[in-house]
Amino acid sequence: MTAVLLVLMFVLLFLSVPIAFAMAAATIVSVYVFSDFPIEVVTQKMFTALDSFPLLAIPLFVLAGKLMETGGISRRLINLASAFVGHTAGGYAAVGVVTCLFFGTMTGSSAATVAAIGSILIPAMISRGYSPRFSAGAIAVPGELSSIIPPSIPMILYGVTTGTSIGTIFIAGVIPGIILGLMLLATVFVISKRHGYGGDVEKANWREKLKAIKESAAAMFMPVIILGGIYAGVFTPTEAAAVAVLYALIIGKFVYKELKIRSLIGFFAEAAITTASIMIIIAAAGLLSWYLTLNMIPQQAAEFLTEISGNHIVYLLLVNLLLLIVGMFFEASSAILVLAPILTPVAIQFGIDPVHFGIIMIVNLAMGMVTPPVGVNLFVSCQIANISLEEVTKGVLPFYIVLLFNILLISYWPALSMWLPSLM
Amino acid sequence: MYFLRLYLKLMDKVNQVLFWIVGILLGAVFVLLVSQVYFRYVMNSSLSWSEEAARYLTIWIVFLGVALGLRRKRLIAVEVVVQFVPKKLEFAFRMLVLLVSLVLMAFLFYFGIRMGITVSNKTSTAMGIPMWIPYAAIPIGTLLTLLNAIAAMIEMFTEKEASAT
Repeated sequence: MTAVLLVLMFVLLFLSVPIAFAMAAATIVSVYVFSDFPIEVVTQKMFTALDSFPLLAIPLFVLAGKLMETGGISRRLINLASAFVGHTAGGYAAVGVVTCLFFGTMTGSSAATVAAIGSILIPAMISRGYSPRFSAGAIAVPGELSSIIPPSIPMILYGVTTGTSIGTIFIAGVIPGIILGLMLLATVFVISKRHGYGGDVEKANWREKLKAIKESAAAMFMPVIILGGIYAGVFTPTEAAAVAVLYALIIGKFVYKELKIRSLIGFFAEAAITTASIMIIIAAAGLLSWYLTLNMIPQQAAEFLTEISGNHIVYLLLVNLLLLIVGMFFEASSAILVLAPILTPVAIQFGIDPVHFGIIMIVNLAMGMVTPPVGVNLFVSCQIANISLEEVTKGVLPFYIVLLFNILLISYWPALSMWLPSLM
Repeated sequence: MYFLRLYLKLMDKVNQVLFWIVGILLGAVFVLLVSQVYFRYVMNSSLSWSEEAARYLTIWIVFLGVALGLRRKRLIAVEVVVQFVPKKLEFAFRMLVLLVSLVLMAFLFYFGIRMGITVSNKTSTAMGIPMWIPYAAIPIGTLLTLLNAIAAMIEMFTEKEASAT
C-alpha cells in the first residue's frame, strides 16, 4: 500500500502538480483507502507540521534577503569585492564568487542570491567579452554558497525535521562554505586565465579599497549580528532572523537611503508568497512522514540501508550518490523534508554526528541546484544571460569536478564541519 | 463569456486584497519577534504570548499565500516532463494539474471545517484563544486557492481561444 502511495505521488509529480499538492493528495488517498483513521486527521497533521517556532526563521530570512536585494546592499558588496579581486584574471567572475560568499552570510536562499548578484554581474561580464555560458555558470555555481553558509533555509529545515540544533548546524557550515568558496575562486581563475577573460582592470589603490570598505561596512556588520548573536547565545536563529530584517530595514532606509517605506508592504507580501511556496511543502511533508512512520517505512528503509552498506564509508558514498540523483530532480527543501528523517537515524547508527550529516546532505543537494534538468540556479542565471539551459549547463560543466571533490572532502573529513561547533 | 470575465475581474480584486493581507500579517510576525527580543533584553521581562501568536500568524500566511502562489505560478513543481511534451499535450497536462489541485482543495476545505469544529472547544496554551481561530486558516486558505484554480482554468481556456482566432 505504500507502493500505491509512492507511485501515485510520482505520477502526480511528473504531471507537474506542485510538490506539496502531490504529496498531500497521494497521502490522503492512502489514508482513505488503507487506514481507518478519521480523515480530518489529515488537516491536523498539516497544521502541526507548521506549528513550530524554529520554522518562523524562514519567512524572516526570505524577507531580509528581499530587503537587501533592493536596499542597495548587493551593489555595495559587489563594489567591495571589485576593489580587492577585480583586477585579477577573470576579475568579474572572481568578484561574483566573493560577493556570493558575503551575500551567503546574509541570506538563506540560493536562487535569490543568483538573481540579486547575477542581474548586475552577468550583463557586465558579457559586455566585457566573457562568453555568456561562462558568465551565467560562474554566478550560478557560487550561488549555492547561500545554502551552505549560514543562515540557510535548508539548514533550518534539516534542524527542524531531525531535531538537531539549528544554531550548531549554522556554525558548522561556515568552514565548508569558505573552503568551497576558495575552490570556486581558483576554478574561475584557471578558466579565465586560459580564455583570457578579464585582467584588464587596473588594480584598486588603497584609497579606493578603503572607500569600498567604508561604504559596505554597515552591510558587512549583518553577519556579525546574525552569527555572533546565535554563537553567543543572545538569541535563537528565529529571533536572529527578525533582528536581521530590522537591521536590513535600518541600513536600507537610513544609511543607504534606497528603501522606500511606501513599497515596503509589497516586499513583505512578496516574501510572504515565497514563504508560502516553501512552507506548504513542509505541511504536506509532515503529513506524508506521519503516514510513512505509521507504516514503519523509515524503519524498514533504515534496516535495508544499514544492511546493504555495512559500514559508514559505504553508507556515505551511497548517500552521496542518492542525493546527487535526487538533487537533479527536486529542489533541496523538499528533498531534506522527506529524506532527512530516514537517512539521519542510520547515519547516527554508523557513528556519524547528525550535525556533520546535515552539512553533507546540504552540500550534496546544493549541487542539485546547478545540475539539469531541475536546477533553480541554472534557471535563474540562464534567464539573466538570455541563453538556453543547455548552454548554461555547458558553462557549469568544468565546475562539477570541483563540486564533487568538495562533497567528498566534506563527507569524509568530519573535522571541517565539526571543529567550529566543538569550540562553542 | 461575460460572466467568466467578471469572475476573473472579481478574483483579481480578491487577490489584490489578499496580497495586502499577507504582507501585513508578515509585518505583524516581524514586529512580534522583534518585541520579544526587546522585552527580554531591554525590559527584562519575557512576553509569554508573542511566540504563539507569531506561529499562528505564520500558518495563516502559508495557507493564504498558497492561493496567490498558485495564481502566480510560484508553487514549486517538477517541470521536467511538461517541458518536453508537445503543445497540445501540455495544455491537457496543465489542465489536469489544476483539476487535481481543485479537488484536493475542495477536500481540505471540507475536512478543514470539520477539524475546526472538532477543536473549537479547546483553547490555545499561551493566549487562551479558541483553537478554531488558527485552524480556520486551512478552510479559508484552501477555499481561496480553489477559487484561484478555477480562475487559472478560465484563463487557460480564454487564452487558447484567443490564440486560435
